[in-house]
Amino acid sequence: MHYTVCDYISDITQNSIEAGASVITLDINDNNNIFEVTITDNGKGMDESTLKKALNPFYTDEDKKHDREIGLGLPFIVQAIQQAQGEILIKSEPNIGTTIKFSFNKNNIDTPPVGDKVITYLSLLNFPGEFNLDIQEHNNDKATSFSKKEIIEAIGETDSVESLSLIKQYLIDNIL
Amino acid sequence: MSKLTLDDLRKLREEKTQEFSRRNNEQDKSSIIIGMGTCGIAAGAKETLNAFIEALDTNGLTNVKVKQTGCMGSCNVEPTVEVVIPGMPTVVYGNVDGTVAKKIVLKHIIGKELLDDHIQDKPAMDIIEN
Repeated sequence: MHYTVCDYISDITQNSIEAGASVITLDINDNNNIFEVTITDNGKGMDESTLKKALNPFYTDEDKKHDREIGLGLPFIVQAIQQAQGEILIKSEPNIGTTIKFSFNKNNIDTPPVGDKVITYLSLLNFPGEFNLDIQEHNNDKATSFSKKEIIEAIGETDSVESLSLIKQYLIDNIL
Repeated sequence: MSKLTLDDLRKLREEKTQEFSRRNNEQDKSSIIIGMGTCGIAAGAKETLNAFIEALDTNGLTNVKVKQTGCMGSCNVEPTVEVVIPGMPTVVYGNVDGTVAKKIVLKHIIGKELLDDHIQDKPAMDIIEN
């Protein structure tokens, strides 16, 4: 079971990458009481029956694992949301993409801690695959954004220790 | 120190271009592959990733590639890490937290010696076919 909200963000964003998305947007809205996350992708999407199955912990995409019948990504987040009385909305259309929006009330005692955003973004930028990832963060009066395309254009790669250390510092300096 | 911007990253990259070209082929093939599936994330694979970046950076092993993959089928011993170093057998280590990550850097990558306690050579018993 995941420990932080950032763990759910990692998991759900990876689903987008694995669904073949070329553009993924991660939007984080951190207001006084609500922590809201929206992940939008242009991956292969799911029809209604597949989406229903994806919420079942004993289902996984056939392409992903042939012999196993466990897929815990979405069920984990749904369970955490239910426990903490948050909200989740999943919209998906085959060949168009998927949008997952969820929010936690920061005052609810069962809401998980936010977790380490820097390492979460760093690991998503380092994840293999030809996809662009736009991360947008905003709270009451400030906003910032990171783009994988811009970072790669600036530093060249996202898998050597050298560039990862620099990207990490760049994220620490600019994160909200 | 002022904030690091994208322009700073560009400049740093230019400064390091010469350094990049001096890398020898052997070092270029070294890589650390971290299992970052649902199971890996739940077990703390992101901390492991961070620990590897820090330990490799501290020890000047900046040209080792750090990569990620999905679940490697050993969810019971996550976080799992595959270490590929030329001249050494390719090894999958299990239960790699931050402390073990540092040990792997010092003992396996620098000392060229395996960490016997963490070698993972088969998947969990319940998924091995009888």
